Amino acid sequence: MGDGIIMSSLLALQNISYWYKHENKKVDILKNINVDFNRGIFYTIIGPSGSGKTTFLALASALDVPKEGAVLYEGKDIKKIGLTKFRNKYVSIVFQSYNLLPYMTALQNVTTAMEITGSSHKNKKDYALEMLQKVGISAEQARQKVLTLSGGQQQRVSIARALCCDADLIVADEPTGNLDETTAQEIVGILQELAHNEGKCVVVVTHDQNIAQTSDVVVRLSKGSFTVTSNNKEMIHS
Amino acid sequence: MNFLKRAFLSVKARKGKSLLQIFVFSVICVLVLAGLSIQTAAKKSSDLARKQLGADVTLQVDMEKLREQMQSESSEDGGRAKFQSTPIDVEAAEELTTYDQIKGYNFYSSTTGLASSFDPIENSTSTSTEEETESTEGASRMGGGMAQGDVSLQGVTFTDSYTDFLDSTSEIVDGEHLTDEDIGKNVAVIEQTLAEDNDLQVGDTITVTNPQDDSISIELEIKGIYATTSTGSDQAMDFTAMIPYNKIYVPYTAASELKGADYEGTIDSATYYIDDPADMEAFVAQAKSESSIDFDTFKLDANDDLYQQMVGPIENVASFSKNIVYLVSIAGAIILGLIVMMSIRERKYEMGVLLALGEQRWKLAGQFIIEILVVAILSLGIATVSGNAVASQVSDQLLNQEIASSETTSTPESFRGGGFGKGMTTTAASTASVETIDELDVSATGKDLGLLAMIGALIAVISALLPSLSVLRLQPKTILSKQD
Repeated sequence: MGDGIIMSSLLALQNISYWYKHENKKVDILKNINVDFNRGIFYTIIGPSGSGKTTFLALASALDVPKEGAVLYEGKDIKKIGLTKFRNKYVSIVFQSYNLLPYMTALQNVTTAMEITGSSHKNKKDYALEMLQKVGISAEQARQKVLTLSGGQQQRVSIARALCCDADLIVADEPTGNLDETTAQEIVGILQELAHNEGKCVVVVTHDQNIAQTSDVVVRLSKGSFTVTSNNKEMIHS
Repeated sequence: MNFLKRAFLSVKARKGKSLLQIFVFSVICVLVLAGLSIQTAAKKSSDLARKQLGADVTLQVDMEKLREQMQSESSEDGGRAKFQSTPIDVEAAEELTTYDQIKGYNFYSSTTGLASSFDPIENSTSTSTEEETESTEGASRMGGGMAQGDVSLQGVTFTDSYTDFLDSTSEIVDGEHLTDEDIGKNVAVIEQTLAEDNDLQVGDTITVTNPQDDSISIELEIKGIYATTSTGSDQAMDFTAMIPYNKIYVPYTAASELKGADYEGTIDSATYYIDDPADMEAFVAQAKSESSIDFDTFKLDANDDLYQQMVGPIENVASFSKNIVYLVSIAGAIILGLIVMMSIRERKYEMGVLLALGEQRWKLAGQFIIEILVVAILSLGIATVSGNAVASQVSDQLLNQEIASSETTSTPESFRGGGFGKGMTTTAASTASVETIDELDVSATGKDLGLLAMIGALIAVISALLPSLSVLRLQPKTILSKQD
């Protein structure tokens, strides 16, 4: 963790509950969850399948709205900010299934996201190429249609797309699921760097215990409830 | 303007679908443009025809009302119905000549007279008859006891616009036509055969007497001599006055004078010539509201038969092409809408991704509209290049069908199957005195292209907007999770 980073509460999930109806029965996914996410910390959310990890992430990134409770960004309900505006300005998402635009090249996918989010970088193309190279995509690969790239390469493009946007909150759903171990470590290193050196709040949903161990805080979801464990007590206390 | 860039990228990337959309849109545009061009050409042609032909309105006694009046009078008296002519006051007829729509007029007053200072042309059978009835001094008697003259006097204002001169049946061979300057003068234009038989020349005078009252006679100075090709009808040959050579044109004032004092300042009928048949109704309406003419007795008969005959087929084609425009526009919008809808539904995933990235919904709709507008612009280009050729072909085809159809319907039943009916002369058999417009100069005008662009844009926007609305109301998570 770099010096001079001030940790303050960026995102707060307050009394969040989420359920769906199945054959007229209410099925609880999340029940009365209260978690704060701060700047400069790398969080992992772990739990068994069906524990509500992806729903948790969808609520945190305003892709969905809770049935009860509120999601606050810097103390303000994201509904008041506007869900679209929130996704546009304050959060970057890395999807498990990449969610790239198939008719574009890797580079175009990244620059398109930068343009949509109004990225402040003057030379968007150069910055996008730099980020793509940082996640292991060569300049040549960057100019290929994304469908010609492998699953792992598409995931890197998806990560580069999230990194290129200027959001303070980065949420990722199994970002290393399709990557080899070396690249996965590199990606985790980049995410840590973003949290520790650039003061971003990084929230990663994962099954990978190795990633969970390298994160600062682990949020463990089980049967709709949660427990929070700190791997980096020094940083949390400070 | 990121969504513009995305739209162009998408059109380029989806070549197959874009080409299909361009093809469908081009077909729609070509048909709409063909319809619009045909409409414009038909309007242009009918305007031209209208201005070339003009129309005429005749002021005359309303025979229908006169018949009703006669019947009611006869039932009151208990006797037979008697026809009584009702002349028109010249001053009233003159009021209408000042109206803006009028380009010309002619007043008519006709009667018969007895040739006093010359011999009328007689047919071979009438010679013996007249010798036998010498005591009547040339006047033949009708069944009702009415004396009939041996020359007919056609009172007019202008001879050059009289039907026989207009259709070149008669032509001036010496002297001059009668004009409005001759009104009040006792002048005449006589037929060449009559002049030659009587050694008459321009400047000579002839005397004509009222057949019923020999105290009324007028002396007419010959102002012109005409030759006629009219042979008259068989029935006319029984009456000397009806022989075409015995027709004498005089100013209507002279004809009225010969009829007697009761007819002074009156005419039988008046014809008004109008530049544009479209003004005909306005003229009649103005006459009815402003003039002093008694429309209980008289009526204004509008005649635009020639115009209707000439433009009938093209107006039908124009009307048909208007229906084509409506039909193709609506059907095209539906077909294109379905294609775009299918394409947009396939692109739900893309919309989910863009919404997840924080793209605004209106920009997504904008992207789809721009994509279809790109297709529309390319299709408009294709339509502009090929539209004229298609429009010409379609209009020729439609016009030929219409002409064939109008010829069939305007030909009497007895004409069909070859020869003419019994006793029908070739003159009577000719069905038209003007040629029907059988060709349209179809070419797309700037206005047509502008209208096509508007219709195309409307179709594009509707076909893109409606299907995208159904998808855009969804939350990105719903879209993406269904995709997964």
